[in-house]
Amino acid sequence: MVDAKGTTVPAAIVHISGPKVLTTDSLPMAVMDQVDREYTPHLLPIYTGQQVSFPNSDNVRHHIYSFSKTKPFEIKLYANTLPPPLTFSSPGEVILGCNIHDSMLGYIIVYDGGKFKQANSKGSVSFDEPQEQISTLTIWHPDLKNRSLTNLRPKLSGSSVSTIAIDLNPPPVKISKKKSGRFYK
Amino acid sequence: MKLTLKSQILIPFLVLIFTTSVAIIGSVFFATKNNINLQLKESLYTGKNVFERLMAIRGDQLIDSSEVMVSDFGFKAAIASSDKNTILSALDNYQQRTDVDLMMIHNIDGSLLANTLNNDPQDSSLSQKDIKTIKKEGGLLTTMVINSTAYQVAILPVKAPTTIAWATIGVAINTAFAEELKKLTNLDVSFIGSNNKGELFTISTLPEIMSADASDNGNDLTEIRHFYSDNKEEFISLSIVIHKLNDYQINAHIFTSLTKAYAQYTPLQWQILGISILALLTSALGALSISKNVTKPIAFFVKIAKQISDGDYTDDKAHKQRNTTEIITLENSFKKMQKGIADRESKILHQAYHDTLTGLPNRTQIKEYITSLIEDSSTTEFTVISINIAGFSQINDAFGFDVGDDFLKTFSKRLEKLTSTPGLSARLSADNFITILPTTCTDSVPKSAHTIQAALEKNINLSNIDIAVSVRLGAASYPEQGDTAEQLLRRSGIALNVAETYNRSLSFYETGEDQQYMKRIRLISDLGDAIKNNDLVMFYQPKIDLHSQSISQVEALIRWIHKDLGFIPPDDFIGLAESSGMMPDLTRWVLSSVAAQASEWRKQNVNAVVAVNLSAHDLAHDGLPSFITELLREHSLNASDIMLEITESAVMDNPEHAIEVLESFKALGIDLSIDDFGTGYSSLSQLKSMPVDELKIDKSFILNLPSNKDDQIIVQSTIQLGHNIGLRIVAEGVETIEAWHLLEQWGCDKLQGYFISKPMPAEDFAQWYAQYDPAEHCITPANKNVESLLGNS
Repeated sequence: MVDAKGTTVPAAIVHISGPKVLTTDSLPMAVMDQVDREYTPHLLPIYTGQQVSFPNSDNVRHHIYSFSKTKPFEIKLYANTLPPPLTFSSPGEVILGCNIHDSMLGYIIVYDGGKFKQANSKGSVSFDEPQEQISTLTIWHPDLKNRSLTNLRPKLSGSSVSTIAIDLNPPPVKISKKKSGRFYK
Repeated sequence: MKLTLKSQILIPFLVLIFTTSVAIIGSVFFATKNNINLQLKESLYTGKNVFERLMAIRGDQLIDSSEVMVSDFGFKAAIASSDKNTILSALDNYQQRTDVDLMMIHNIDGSLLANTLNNDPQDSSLSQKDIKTIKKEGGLLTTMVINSTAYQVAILPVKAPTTIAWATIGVAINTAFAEELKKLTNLDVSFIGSNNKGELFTISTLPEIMSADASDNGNDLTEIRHFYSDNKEEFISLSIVIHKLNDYQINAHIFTSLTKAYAQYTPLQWQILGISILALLTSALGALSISKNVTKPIAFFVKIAKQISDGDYTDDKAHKQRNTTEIITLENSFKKMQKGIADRESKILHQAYHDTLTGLPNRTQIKEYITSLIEDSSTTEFTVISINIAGFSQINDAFGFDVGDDFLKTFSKRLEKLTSTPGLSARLSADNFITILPTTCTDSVPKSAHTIQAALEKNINLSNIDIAVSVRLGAASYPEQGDTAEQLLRRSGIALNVAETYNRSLSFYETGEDQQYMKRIRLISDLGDAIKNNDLVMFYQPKIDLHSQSISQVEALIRWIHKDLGFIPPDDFIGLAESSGMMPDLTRWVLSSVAAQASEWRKQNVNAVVAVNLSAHDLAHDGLPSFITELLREHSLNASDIMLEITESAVMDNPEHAIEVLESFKALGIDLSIDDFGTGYSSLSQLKSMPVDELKIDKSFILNLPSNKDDQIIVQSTIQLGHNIGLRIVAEGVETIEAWHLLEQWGCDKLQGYFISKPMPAEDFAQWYAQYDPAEHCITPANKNVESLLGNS
């Protein structure tokens, strides 16, 4: 995967269509940890009905929340405690914030079937399924310009390796706080 | 224009004070105005800084408020709920907490989601440009005009944790803000918003004024501007652009009234003006009083000076204004001066009428006295007597001037005692005195005069020296011999002259002497002119040498033909020349004239030696030998071409000196002759010691020679005597053949006289000389019987 400029885009999640997950029991417990005031992992793809555990590896409290329609919730996490896991029953994206630490940002992407993989550091991902079996292909990335899981299947070339260009927003800038005159125009 | 001293003091004073006052007032007015201007301009710049700072602080506050708001979990939750009512309630809640005028929430695409305004604003979506800026900068602080109200706003993203909406909170730029600014800066403030369609709003702390400065168009907003309100109040203003975009602009104008600021200083200016006027008046009064104090005494002194100039020396006691030491000193000096002048005047007056040495009245006073006598009708007769001390100069010479002065003083006292009335005696000059007798000459005067003379001629003893006194008196009586003081004084003087001349002790004025005197005066004055104008002529009379029968000598005789009076005898004017000091000039003229003539004659072969007469005065004149030497050289003459004749009496006046001078002539090689011999009492020994070559027997012995036995004896023996001491003998006054023969017989060497020739002009003499035939005169004694001749006479 490359961006509009042709630069390799790592860590994007590629999802291909497939059968729905019928039994959630067989799904493993996904973990969204908080380490050094960051959601770890940053992106967490799961299937509908899968349970996500929110352990707190930090020695500070966190107050994680989501206003996403997919799964609005809030959990107050105390240090080294493990609250009961949450079950994400509808597909979509869940943006995680922390009410205590504004800079904390994490994503849980909920798919209701198929197969997903996260691209490596070179921005590549490989699936075993033959191309003809793939009906839809979507890519998710937090900076993706059009944050819809559009089917990118037609962009696949006939060969076993295809390069797909995706349009990304510029990564959000860290704004250092300045007093007087800031923003002033 | 002449100024009085008073105004001379007063005017510069007033001008000085006036100028100073005007300068002070002017500089105070100028300085205050300048200062006010400067201060107000400073305050405008300060105001601008304050305004900008205030805006920045408000901005910071807005941002802070926004940040707090958008960080609030509940708020985020409310926004995330997407429920409009929930969102509005959250906004209201927040607006109550903070003190903001505007809150708006925009969807992530910029469309308005919710706001706290009562009326929904039109067209209040966020522009994509703003959104981009917010994304880039993390927020935006700007201004917005919503429903004709300007707001300073902060727009921040609402993050949960990604941006879910845009939150806007703002404070109105309104009258309250303007008033706050005014409170802080003491400046008036206006906010004017406009877009390309025109004015959007105007907010001002002085709304009625703003119309004058409303338009920003064409003004440089960074400069301080002056403008006048409708009621002519002057303002200065400075503008600040708050917001400027293509579509609209918001400007702040801060301004203040110069007129009001000036007005604050008006009382001060009036005060200074008042003080200046007061100072001017006080100084004027002071100057007036000073000038009065100075001029008052001066006016007094002017009065005194006037009195003095009028001859009034009385001390004016009326003046008592003694205020300063200078004035007192001046007044004292004035008094001293006044007294001094009075003293000196009386002294001068005394001197004017009195002789300093003797204290006797002088000529002026005696003249006035005589005049008063004449004017006095009771006076019938009196006599003015002039007195001269004979030989007074010899007393001075012999004993010195101190003794001379003492002599005069004693003499004056003596004279004063002689007259019964004081003031009847006077001293006219060194040794000339006047006394007045109350009688006329006819009867008692001679007797009185002789009494006076006898009294005066007593010896005067000074420093144990008895000095003999000899006086001459001249008298003139009123009214017979004069009826004015001048006449009487002059005529008594003339009489005195006569007495001196004839060596008489007393002489009375005789009618006509005055005319002679006047004539002499005239001749003296004319003689000087005559010498200058060559009105004098030389006549020449030949002398015949009996040995050679030739004309060996010729005597030069001076003649003066006066243009009015005709021929003046030399005896008349030579004496005048001597007495008036003109003798040296006259002698030089004669010598020059004779030398020129002799030189002329030498060329014509007229070889007679020219004899020139010298007077006693000439002998006293030391420069004569060198003058003659120079003259001879000038005319190429030898010393033997001229000879000099000196009268016996001239030599006998001062024989030693005369011999000295004669020696010096002799040394030049000039022959010398003693003229008028036989009249001057010379002794044989003197005659012997004199360096002379010739004796000329006086004509008084020759004129009657043929008939006078005595003369014959004298002449004959003189000739013998002269020959015996080696002198040539000349006889003058030879007028008859008899005289000639006698003289020739006695061995006389030369003859001169009418019988040979009268004196004649130079040309005539040259002719006469050329035609001279000795045979005509050559009568040898052998041919004539002299005895018979003598017997016939």
